[in-house]
Amino acid sequence: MKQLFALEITRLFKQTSTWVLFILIFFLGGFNVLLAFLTAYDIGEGGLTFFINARSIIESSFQLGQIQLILVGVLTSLFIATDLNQGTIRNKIIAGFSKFEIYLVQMAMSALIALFGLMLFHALPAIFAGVITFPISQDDGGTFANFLIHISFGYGLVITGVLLTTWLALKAKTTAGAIIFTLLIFVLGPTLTSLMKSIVEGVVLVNFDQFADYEGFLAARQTIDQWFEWVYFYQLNRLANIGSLFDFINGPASLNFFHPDTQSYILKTIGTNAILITTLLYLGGKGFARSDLR
Amino acid sequence: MEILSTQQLSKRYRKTNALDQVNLTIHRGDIYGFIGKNGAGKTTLIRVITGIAEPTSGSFQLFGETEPKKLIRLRRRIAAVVESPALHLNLSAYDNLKLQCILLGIPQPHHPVIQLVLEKVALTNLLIERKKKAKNFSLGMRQRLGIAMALIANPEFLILDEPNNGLDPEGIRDLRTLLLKLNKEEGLTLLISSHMLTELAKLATRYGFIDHGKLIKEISAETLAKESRQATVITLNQPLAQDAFKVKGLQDYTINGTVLKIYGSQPLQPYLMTIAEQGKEVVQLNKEADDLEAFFMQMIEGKR
Repeated sequence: MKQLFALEITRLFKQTSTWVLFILIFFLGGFNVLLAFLTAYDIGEGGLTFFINARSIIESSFQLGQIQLILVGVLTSLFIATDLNQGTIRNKIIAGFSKFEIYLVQMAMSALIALFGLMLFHALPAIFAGVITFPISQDDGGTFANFLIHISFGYGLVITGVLLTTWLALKAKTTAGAIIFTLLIFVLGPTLTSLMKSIVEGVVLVNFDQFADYEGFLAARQTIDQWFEWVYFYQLNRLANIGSLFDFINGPASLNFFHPDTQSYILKTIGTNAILITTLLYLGGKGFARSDLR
Repeated sequence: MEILSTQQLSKRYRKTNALDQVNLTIHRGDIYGFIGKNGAGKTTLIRVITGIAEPTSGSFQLFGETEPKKLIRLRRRIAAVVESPALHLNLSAYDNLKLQCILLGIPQPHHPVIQLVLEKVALTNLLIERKKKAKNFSLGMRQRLGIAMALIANPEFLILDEPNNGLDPEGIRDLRTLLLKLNKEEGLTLLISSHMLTELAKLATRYGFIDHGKLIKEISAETLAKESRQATVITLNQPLAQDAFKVKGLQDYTINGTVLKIYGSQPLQPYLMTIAEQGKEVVQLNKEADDLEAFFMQMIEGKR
């Protein structure tokens, strides 16, 4: 396993596409900071006033969230699919590694690449936010703490998505197939889930007379929400929605594990992701071990 | 000692039997020539042995071991170039070999090992051209690099699938010399599948013939030489019909345009009489022995 990791890390940094995409991700993070500065004007009594703080920079770092997901997804898919496309994965089997070991290392590498990519993306916003707020006040400290909690939560969700695209890339066995699956997972998946939720809401809630009062209507809508909270793509959507960050940062709906407003959502997200990751690693690995390679 | 033996090994792809109950044995020190038409099952067998594909049924022993988990680790003692060489196309030859060293756990520095193996396959110039990527190599250079990557593992059993693909005559000769040297001096056992039967005949000590997934014959080079039949080759002034001699009950012959081959020591008189009756003339008459290609064709056509 150690040799496989050493090989994959060397291979990763010898690929030009890795450097190109990592640099792109890093500067995209920087672009977010620039956006925060360009839009940091408040209209007050004295006209436009320049105002920027840690929160506005951090919030802006979620503006290009989906592009970041796609870039990270493309990077991992390219990395995995190249190995299959060029047939170099065969060298690993002939060198005496089981397909299950190879699969686990590929998955771990995808997760590491995604994690590193995400950290690169948020590096400049975090640095700038830190510089601006130095010395950090208690309020800013709270913002940072929420940011870190929110971001770790988000990283977990993205890693699940990347593992899903890696599994699909290993199934597709071609670069084109892997890229298509990445786009499906990170673009079409959340969009279709939103659409599906709207349809379900439309069908269930269309006849308002069925509810005794408005409270009943709201309760029914909340039930639909609660069901959809189990769906991975819904969770991803909610993460990408900048409004959720406001919720998490501000008052009662802050991302607090013990807070009644968010606890059930957090538990469901952890549950869904844990099930997905375990299934992908164990069943996906067993399936890969039984499959024929090109 | 047996290096590889297969027992009723089968591989099925949907409706096709790519391997059909193959029983094959390769002994230590053998140079096993694996012969078959395109799609006969040669590469499938290699893919199954190397672990790239899973067998549908049957089993195989590698170095006397059949247990799947032990087989995985035992593959460290083999090396293979299956179909096209598995290269990192965006990397140089040196980087490809370096990655192979990392994979095999060959300790740093890799350079002396890489130098040695590139010398073996006559590719030392690739060490100087460190920036040239494998995707810009000719087919022959890729093939040599693939073989170098296989040899860096210092294997006991080397499997080569169509190793002469893309090699020029000099490359083919160099590869033959290298393989014979490794076999004689280091006791390397080889399984070589090839379409180039004349080239294979210069190397192999044993042969396996495969057709439609079935191993139809295993034979040693010595026995093949004994079994290779003499043929009388008659060249005529005009072409003959394929069934020209059928009416006289003659069967063991082949006609290719104006060339008639009569196998074994059967009397020539009935043939010559028929030729005369059909108004053809004999231009030339020679005696020749079957080569591997003729032997293979007869095997496939069921004449042996």
